[in-house]
Amino acid sequence: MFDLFVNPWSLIAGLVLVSVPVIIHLINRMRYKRIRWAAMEFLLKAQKRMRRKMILEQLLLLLLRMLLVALMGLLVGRFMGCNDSLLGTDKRSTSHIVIIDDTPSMTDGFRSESGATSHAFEQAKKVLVEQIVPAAAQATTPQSLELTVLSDLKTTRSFERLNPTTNEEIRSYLGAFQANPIRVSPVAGLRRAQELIATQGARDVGRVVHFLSDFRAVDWSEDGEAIKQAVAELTAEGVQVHFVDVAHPFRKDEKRAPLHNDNVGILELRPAKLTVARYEPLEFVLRVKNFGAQELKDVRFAIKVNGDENKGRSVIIPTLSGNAEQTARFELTFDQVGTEEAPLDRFSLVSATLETGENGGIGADNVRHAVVEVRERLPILIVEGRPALRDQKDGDAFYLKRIFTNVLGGFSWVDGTPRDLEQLDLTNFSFILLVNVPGLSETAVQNLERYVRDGGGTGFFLGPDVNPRDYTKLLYRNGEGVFPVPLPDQPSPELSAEELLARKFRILEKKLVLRDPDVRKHPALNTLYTDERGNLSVKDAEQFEKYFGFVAIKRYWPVQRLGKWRDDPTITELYCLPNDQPMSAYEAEIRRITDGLPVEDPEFSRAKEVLTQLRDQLRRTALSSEPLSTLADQLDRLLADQRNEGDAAEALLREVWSHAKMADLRTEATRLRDRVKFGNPLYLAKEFGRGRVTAFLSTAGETWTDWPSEPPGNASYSPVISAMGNYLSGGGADENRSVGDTLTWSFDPTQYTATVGRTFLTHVPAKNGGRGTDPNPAPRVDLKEQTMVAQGGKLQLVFGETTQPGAYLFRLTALRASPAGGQSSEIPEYRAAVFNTDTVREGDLRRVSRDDVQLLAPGAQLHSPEETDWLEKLKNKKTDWSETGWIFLLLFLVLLAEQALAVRFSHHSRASDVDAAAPSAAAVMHRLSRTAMVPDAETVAKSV
Amino acid sequence: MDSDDPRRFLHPSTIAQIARLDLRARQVVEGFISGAHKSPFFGQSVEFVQHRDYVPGDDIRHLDWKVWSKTDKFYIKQFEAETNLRASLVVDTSESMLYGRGPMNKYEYACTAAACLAYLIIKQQDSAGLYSFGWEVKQAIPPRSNQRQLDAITKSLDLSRPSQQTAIRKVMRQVAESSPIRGMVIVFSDLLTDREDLFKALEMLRHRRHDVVVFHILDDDELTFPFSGMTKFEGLEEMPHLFCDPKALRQGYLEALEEYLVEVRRGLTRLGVDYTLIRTSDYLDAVLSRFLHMRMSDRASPVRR
Repeated sequence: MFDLFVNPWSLIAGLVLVSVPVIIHLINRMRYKRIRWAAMEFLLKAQKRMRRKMILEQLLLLLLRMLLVALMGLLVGRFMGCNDSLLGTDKRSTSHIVIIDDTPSMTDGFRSESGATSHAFEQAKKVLVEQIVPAAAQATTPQSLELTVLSDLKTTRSFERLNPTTNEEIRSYLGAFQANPIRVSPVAGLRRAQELIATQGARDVGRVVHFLSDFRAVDWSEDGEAIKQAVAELTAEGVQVHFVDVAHPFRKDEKRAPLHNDNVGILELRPAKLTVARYEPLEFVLRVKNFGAQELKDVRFAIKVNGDENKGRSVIIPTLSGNAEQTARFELTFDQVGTEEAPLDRFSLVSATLETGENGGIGADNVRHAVVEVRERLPILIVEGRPALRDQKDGDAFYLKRIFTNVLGGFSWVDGTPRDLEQLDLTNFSFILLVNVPGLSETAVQNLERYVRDGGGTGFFLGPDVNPRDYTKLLYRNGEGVFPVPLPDQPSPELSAEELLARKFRILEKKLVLRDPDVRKHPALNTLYTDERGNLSVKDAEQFEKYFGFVAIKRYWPVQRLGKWRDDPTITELYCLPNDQPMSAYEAEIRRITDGLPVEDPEFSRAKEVLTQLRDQLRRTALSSEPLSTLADQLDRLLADQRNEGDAAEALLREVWSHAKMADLRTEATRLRDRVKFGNPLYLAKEFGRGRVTAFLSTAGETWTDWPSEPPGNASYSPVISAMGNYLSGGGADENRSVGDTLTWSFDPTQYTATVGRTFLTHVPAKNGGRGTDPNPAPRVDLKEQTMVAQGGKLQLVFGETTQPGAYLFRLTALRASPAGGQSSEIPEYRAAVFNTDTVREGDLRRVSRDDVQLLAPGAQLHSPEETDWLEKLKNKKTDWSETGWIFLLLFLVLLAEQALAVRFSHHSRASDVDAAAPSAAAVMHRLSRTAMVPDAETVAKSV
Repeated sequence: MDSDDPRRFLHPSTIAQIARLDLRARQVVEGFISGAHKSPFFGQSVEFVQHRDYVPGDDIRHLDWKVWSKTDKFYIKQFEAETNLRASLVVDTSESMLYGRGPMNKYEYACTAAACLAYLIIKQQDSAGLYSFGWEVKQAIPPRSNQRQLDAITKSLDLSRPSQQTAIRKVMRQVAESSPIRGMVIVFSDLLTDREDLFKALEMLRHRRHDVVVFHILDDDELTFPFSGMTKFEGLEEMPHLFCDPKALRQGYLEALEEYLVEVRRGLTRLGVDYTLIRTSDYLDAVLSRFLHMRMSDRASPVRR
């Protein structure tokens, strides 16, 4: 009982005082006046009449007065209430560990009630200095605080003894902090909290971890398990974990996920290749996502080159649906190349900035950078199997050279030999073409593999000189090597002249077939099939593929679709040959499948007509001498899985095939269709490490095919080769690095010195769209030199100081054997890496639901800045009713009631009121007596 | 009160300072009549009406000698008010009249009022008598009109001390019996007695065609009941005592009082009694002048018997 009061003795005093009104009442009864009274009759009557009412009223008044005293007693005794009996029981000192999330999503802006714009990070600071610290400072035990931000977990600031002074210190310390572009998982913060607790040792202190963040759903879905474990470990150690969700709108007690602001972010700005020739148009892919639900119109992006809008352009996405991604493609040319004086000019920084204003959302994801190295020309290395035939029409690379030097500008053609692959530093080459090379030495293969793995590109063209065993053994290496497929022992047999002629006349039959409709989006082909917004354009493709009817592939290496390579996801079969088997080979199978069609099945009665028609067609074709492509087309129609626009029967057929009992037949029919339709593979692509490989299983020259040379079929050759060139030189460009990531590059210690110069190049777009005012819109900041670490026989460049989005440029010093003598000379070499905000994770502002938090972090408590209850516990002191206004309100009400009753029972009346209440006759008399009415004498005389 | 106001001497507290009742009465009456043009008391109330023939036995004082000298015939001059007004002042001297916290208690006030009226009546040559009563008539002075009568009345009032209960019926019978001639009965009382007795008593007077005037004198305290704090009310006239919180009872008291006053007023009005309620704090001159006013207007009333 006494535990419920801060001052229990005051309670006793209060209890004693409760009797005071009674005592006063009794004393009043003892101390009375005596009046000799004439009008006793009325008094007795009144007493008789009012007795019961009087007693009730008096009792009520007495009780109210007693209640008043009791309330005063509670107030003075400082009653703490019956709940939260644990409050203020922790006699230990408390160590608070505060981790503030300062990732980009914390810049999620909102307009506060006062109209000022603020964002989640500011709110987090506010919660700390206005709620947590003041609450903790009220505690009676010593409170210390360790503060760290998520982006810089290594730096921890300690504040001993929380009080208003230290609160001011914290405020000014936090003042310097801004939300950071670096994304760090909340798990890292919780782990850091664990470390900090561990360093405190086994002291007997209360430990509280406060994690102030915006609790985005993406963090919790990705790292849910890790968070769960970290929280479980913390709570197991007796640590209180408080999560404060500072994002706007503030989380209420609802179970659902709270509302979140809309946001538009640039997911990716990717150049087709990292190194480009001067004035060569370079395609960029701008991938944008609308994280909000509202559709946006005419979303405009400014593309700047080195911060200069005049060199860039603007890109408009006409419609950006809610929760959808959109891709835009655009081309840029670059005119600035490095010189000896300014070697770093070789790097051009391309920045895309969202120009259309967005409501709320975060700003960090509205800018994205890419860096491109611009050279006068891009060197490509061509290794020919028959160097004797170099530059001759019969030679293997004759047509390639024409394309790369005449048709496509920007490449510098470097002829090489297989030996060069062993010796040269291949990284200087944009890509390497191996044309009809019989085989490579092991060193050459290793060198080539390393080159490709680091982002290089290699294109294989085969031919009669190729040694299939070498290729399979060294280059394919059971799927481990760069070459995508194992080669058969023999190339395809030579075709007879009649057969070639016959084929030539079948111009409607495409001699090159897309293996799968989806490969049209493959980077090695997508420039052929897609428009500038990345959409497939069917008409253009039809037009383009018409030329395939005139192409003749006379011989090739027939690779069987068998074995491991078929399941390798990095290998894509782009083009294959049509099937040139005779129709009779498939007759029986066609018969079996057409018999299996559910023509008579009442369940598919709607499709009966279509099915019957197709069945009859297929049977007729199987018996005819028509080319297999006809059969393949009909099977395509039957299977209806190629999305042929405009075919009315397609929907019906798809319905039929989607039925469960058709599954077996469908698999069988699909297999048959594929066998009928597709011959052997011809053109394949493989992603190897960060690099890219293509393999063309016929010759590059006209030895085995007339594709490069014979019009009109050759019209389609140079686009495919050009796309291949772009594909091969674009290796390594896919890397989407995020600020905060660590860059690791390995170098050969014999070829590089350990010192690396570093420069940071970025462009910060002016706010409110101010243009052209900055004289140096893309400043370069010297980051000083760094020494590489030798590890495992390699020099390792480990760069982890990426704190801002932009391009980080590195100057390496390569050791080269000088051409003159055996002396090696130092040649500077430059590399660049671009780091951007992690838009995929940070741009998604959806928030985790309270349920999920409870599920994933069972011991932790989730609060919002509007909640204050939990702060009471931080105070760790006995709080009582006197700190709330309620008891005062109650007191006031009771007082009011007491006064009202007292006045009503006329215990507080004034003298003037008495007159007013007097009986009417007396009042009249009284009033008359005051009007000084003096009658005239006559009246007086007559009246008596 | 303004120091230039001639009525300042008529305030109860001023009058209370005048010890002798006759002087008090003079103070009051002269005070309130002083503003009139002429004194009505010297003009007599005898107005000529007609002459009639002398018959033997008539008082020769009423012979009109001027007519005799011209006509040698005896005529009697007849006047409107031939007879004196016989006013009996009946003053309650029961114990209840003792109450009063102001400058005058009810009894003193009643005495002063009675003295004033006696003074007025005697001044205009009418006769006034006095009856003071409690359980029975204590003193009776039959109505006379000479100057000494006023002295007798004031002395008598001065000497009598309130005591005993009221037995108004018995007293009124005695008054009625001692006043065989029709006259005016002016009662000064707090009427704190049995209402039935009161009405019966006054009805008896009215029955004998007396013109009855009742001055109902109550103290301010009795009308407003302003007491607070625990109080023991000790009943006068052998009423029981009551210990109570007067504030709590005030409402009920006032209600009972109101009922009583209404009952009295109605009852007396029904009997044709001229009723006036007076508070001890009221200015006497105002009370008297109002009374005179009422009397004058009532005289014209055909209802009055």
